[in-house]
Amino acid sequence: MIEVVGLVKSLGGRAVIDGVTFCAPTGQVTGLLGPNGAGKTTTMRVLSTLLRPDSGTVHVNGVDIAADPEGARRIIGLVTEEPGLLDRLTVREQLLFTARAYGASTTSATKRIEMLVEALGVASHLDARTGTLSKGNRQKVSLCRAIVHDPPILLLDEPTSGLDVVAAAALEDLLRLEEVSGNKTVLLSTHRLEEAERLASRVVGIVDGRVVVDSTPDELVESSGAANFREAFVRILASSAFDAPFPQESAVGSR
Amino acid sequence: MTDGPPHEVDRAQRRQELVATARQELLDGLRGRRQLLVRALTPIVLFVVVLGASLATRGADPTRDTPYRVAVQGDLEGMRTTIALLESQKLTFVATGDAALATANGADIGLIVPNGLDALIKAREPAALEVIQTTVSPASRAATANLRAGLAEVYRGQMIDALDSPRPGTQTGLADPSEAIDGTATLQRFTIDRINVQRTQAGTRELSAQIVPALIVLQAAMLVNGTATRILGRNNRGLIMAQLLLPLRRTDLARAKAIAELGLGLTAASPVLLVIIGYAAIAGNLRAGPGAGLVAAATTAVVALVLAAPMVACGLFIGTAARSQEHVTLGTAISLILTSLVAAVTALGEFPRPAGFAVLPIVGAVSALRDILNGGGSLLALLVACASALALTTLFLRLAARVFDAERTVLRVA
Repeated sequence: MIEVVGLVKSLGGRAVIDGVTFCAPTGQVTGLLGPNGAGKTTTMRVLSTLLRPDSGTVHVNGVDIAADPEGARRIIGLVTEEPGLLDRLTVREQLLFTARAYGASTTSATKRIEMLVEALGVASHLDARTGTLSKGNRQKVSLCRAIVHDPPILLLDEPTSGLDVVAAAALEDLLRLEEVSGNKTVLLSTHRLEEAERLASRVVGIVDGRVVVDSTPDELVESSGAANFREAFVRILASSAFDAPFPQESAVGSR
Repeated sequence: MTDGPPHEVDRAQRRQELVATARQELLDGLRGRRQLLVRALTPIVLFVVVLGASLATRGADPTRDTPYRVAVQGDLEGMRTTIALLESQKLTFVATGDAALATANGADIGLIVPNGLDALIKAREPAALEVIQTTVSPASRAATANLRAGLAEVYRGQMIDALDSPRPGTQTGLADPSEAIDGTATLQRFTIDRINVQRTQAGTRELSAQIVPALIVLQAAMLVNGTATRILGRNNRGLIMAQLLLPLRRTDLARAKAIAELGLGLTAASPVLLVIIGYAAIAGNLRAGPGAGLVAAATTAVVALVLAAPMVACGLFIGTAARSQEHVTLGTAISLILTSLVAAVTALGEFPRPAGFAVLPIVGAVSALRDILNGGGSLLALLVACASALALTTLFLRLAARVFDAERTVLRVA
């Protein structure tokens, strides 16, 4: 479970996150939604201990990330838009070294790597250098790396950005797999409403560093009287003085 | 994994995590063969150019006004009259216990004289002199020529005296002034044996004691640039982000990266290091046998490692803190200049080096190596020098760890 209370973070003298409070329960995918510049990525960086909060608290499975950042990193997996893989290592080496760096034994790591690459469809590339893979496959390897130590917390920061439609859909399918998200607390940051609607059982909307929505997609549609999730969310954002439109789903893959 | 606070991590697991991170970095670096080749070739080319240039120009001073320095081994007091005559040849004489060593240490030439040279000349007895010269040094060659000319003048004066009061059986012919300085020259009663200081034990010992530490320092200095450039490039490609997410303490992450960079740097430097260590071993063996050769090789290898560690850590810090290649260039240029000064002053300089030098990082290691290669030095000084170099390494690693932990690093590389 992720518990965020009164989180504040300023960068360059501007409050990028201003009192964010939400809870992401275990065993569910929680969508962190908002337009570009809303503060989603900064929130993810604070949660993954890359940035320190100015105030407020974040607990991941009971671990205070400010008090015990190393302990928090031990139970967190993070996938970002840019995979950041070492191009000259093979997929197997990349994953094995990462598992070892999280304290796993070679035997247990090897078993888990074989299971993961099979489930995520990159088994045939196991001995290929990551620099030779397509962007979609690199992102799959990045996902494997994030969960190779079987973390109870999985943070996904715009994981499908930069992928074409087919690759993005494939990655979405993978995120639903038991091996990937089963019994984990998954926080998915995205500005693609359709993606969040398909994957998330709960959504947290952020605009200008503040939470404007925290409910299930169905509750949101029902309470807003809108025809669908997309319309409901846009109404909420509009009422929050948000004037930048979300990218259309058709724009997916064109970036 | 289950809910709740994570378990305490023991030292063995921390070590495993550190080693795994270092191995990952090292393997990735070792597979970058083009980059590795460039790093290996650069010092080879540079050293050949630097050594060639220094040998070609060593001692060249065509407009020299100051007298040439002659280190006299033997009875200096007994040749005062001769000296008074020779000083017109732009020669100045100083006493020394070892003319060969003094020549290797900076005197233009060495001169070994018999007892009572003035008395021998006055009695018109034959006198055997040995001139110790550095043939690659134009100044040394010029000083030898001046000495020969001066001795010819002395002999000429002696002959004039002899003509005034001839003694039976005395040679009367003057030496041919055009006689080559190479080989053995005989000025009738003066037998001059010329010895090339580079071929003497003392010369070999002193030269190797100077050159080996100087090259080791310069080789280590090049690790700063290689490491910093590589780290900056990797950071710019976003690779550091994945590592910042690992459950390592920032100091452990800095250590892991430093170990990998040290491995890479030493791999790239191995051709040059093998040559330098081999040279030290041969010089030690020639000086005092296989044992000395082994000590020289081992000490050189240890000092190479001890000097490489702070340089790599410095490169890691510069590469992590730098925002651009310009910053890396500036940082590495400063470190290269400082290190070159250390090499020039400590490895090649002639001033006395007190025992307290051992506590100075880099300087202490260079000084200890030079002393040991020269047949002196102490293990304690070497150990203290190693400790001081490792302390500097730790300082740089802590600085790098602080930069890893800085928000601007995350914001820059993200």
